[in-house]
Amino acid sequence: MLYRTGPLILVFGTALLLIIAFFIPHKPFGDLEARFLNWYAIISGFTFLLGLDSLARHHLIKIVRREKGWFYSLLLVTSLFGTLFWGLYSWIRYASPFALNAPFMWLYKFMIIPLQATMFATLAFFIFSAAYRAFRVRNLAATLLLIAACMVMLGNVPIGSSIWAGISWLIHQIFPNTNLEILKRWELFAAAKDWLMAIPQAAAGRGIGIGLALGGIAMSLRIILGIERTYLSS
Amino acid sequence: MLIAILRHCFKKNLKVILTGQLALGLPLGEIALNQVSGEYNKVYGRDYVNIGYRPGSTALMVGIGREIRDFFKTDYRGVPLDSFEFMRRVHNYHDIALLVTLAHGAVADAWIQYAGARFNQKIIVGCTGVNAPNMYQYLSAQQITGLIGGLQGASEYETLVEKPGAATLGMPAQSTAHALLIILLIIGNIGFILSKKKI
Amino acid sequence: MSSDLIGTWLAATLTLAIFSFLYRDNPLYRAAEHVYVGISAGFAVIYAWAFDVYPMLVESFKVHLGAKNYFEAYILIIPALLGVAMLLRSIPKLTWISRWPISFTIGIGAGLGLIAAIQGYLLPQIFDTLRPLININNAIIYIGVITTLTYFYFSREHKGLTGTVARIGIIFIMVAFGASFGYTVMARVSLLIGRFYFLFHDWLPLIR
Repeated sequence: MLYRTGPLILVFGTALLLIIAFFIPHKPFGDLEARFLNWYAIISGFTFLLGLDSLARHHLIKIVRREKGWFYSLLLVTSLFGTLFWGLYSWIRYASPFALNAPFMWLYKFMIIPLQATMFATLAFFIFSAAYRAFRVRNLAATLLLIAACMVMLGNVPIGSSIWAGISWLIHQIFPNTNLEILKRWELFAAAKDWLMAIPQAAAGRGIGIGLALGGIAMSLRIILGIERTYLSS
Repeated sequence: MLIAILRHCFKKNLKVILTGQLALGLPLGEIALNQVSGEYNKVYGRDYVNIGYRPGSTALMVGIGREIRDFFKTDYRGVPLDSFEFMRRVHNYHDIALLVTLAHGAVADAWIQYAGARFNQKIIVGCTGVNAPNMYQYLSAQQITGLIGGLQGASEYETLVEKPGAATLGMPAQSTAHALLIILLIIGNIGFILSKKKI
Repeated sequence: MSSDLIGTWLAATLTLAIFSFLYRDNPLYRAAEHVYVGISAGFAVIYAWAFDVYPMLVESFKVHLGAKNYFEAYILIIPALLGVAMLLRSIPKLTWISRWPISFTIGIGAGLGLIAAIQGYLLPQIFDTLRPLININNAIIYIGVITTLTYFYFSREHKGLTGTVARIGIIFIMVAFGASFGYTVMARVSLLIGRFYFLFHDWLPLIR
């Protein structure tokens, strides 16, 4: 009961309550739903702490045993406890660790932001090399991929307008009867991008999304009915 | 993006309630509020509040539909919400005219599916470029009222509020990078076609 | 030296340390990476306390107790215990206790998710797809959704009519992936611009 049946009943009960509360948001279901949602928020906050124990333990053991890379572990542990110290200090000294002039926010501004932003910024270089490999006009699919990406890239930046202005001028030189101003106003790349995003792209996204939603519904039902129990494994 | 939106709100004398769904992103909101409120002489507690972050994600989004105080009894700094005059009138989505979510990943989807669909909350999404394509289907289905996608969207918004900022400043560099990538793709493909012909 | 100046130099060093990975994995990058993990974990603890345990448990308890609302005060012991039980996952002999809070959160997630998937996504998206075929765009959306769904339908072999429909689906999927790629390039490049702006504006004042 405590190990398996109880938790399964709890899953079924809470999920069923939330479904009933959606249709009948009145007493007692509405109140119970509000309470459970509040508890959910409280409990999920504890998950922040879940990985901390194993992370700290793993690196402390590495430092004590002087294993390979122990110095990096020392840096990690020092950063971890240093952050905790500054957080608590800022709380006591500035009433909140998140006061903009608190040392805790200094850590955020000068360490967290540059580290996180640069981690993602390096991906720009990798995306360039990925583009070179993926965008070769080998077949229809790869060609479509290339055209769509180029249209979006040109449609999203001012240089797309400049290029189109140049093309308009060229068309006007070849066909002097065409109105240059009207041609320029077409903004072909931006217009093509808007259409691509709003129609074919959105259609494919919706197709994928509907598939995912159906999968999500099936998975939710499996969990609620106790068919899917992998979350009970240790 | 956030700065431009805050400028727009303050210019129109709208009351702003800021909350964060991603723990690490929240201080950025406080920094932006601090900067923009000064430009428009807006006072904390009278014109805007930062209610901070609470865990719970989707549960919180649904829960606010009933009462915001079930999750946020105090603001970012621990001051009770009811000590701010305008917040005393705010209880749930009925009292929030527009929800603007600045998100990456699945946060925007969650606001749309949990708050928008269930409580008919009017939503505008401002998101990273990576996430923007996914938002077009919601725009098409009118599940969201507007979309600000990536740096380009942010620079367009800055133009709209007539105050160019970091996004507009970045557009020439962005243009150059896109042009460079397209040129490299063309060169790469010419090479690829030529090498195929040789074989 | 002001703390901002020290901070800017530190941020620049960390930025360059992460960028050094573009050459190859090196001690500077690994040091920055470990610092990042350490600080993030420290932040998580402060967040858990500042935005969860303190306002939602400690303060709520005190407020309810102050208002002599004993039921509301003492019932908070349940989520507090469930939260602590969640942490027992890392103690092998007591792991089974963590199944209770996990089951509670899974149940809530499944209940909310089921409704959101149907009411928040499936129905509005299907309604928007079922448009009168009075213009080419409506037809393209209709075809795009059906063919993409068919492409991801693996219970039937992609042969004959199913195969043809699935092949049309690939066209739409490729356009979508291409468009996504275009936007991803924009996102990553904009972050890179941000970092370069920091390096050449805030750190080394080379650009104004």
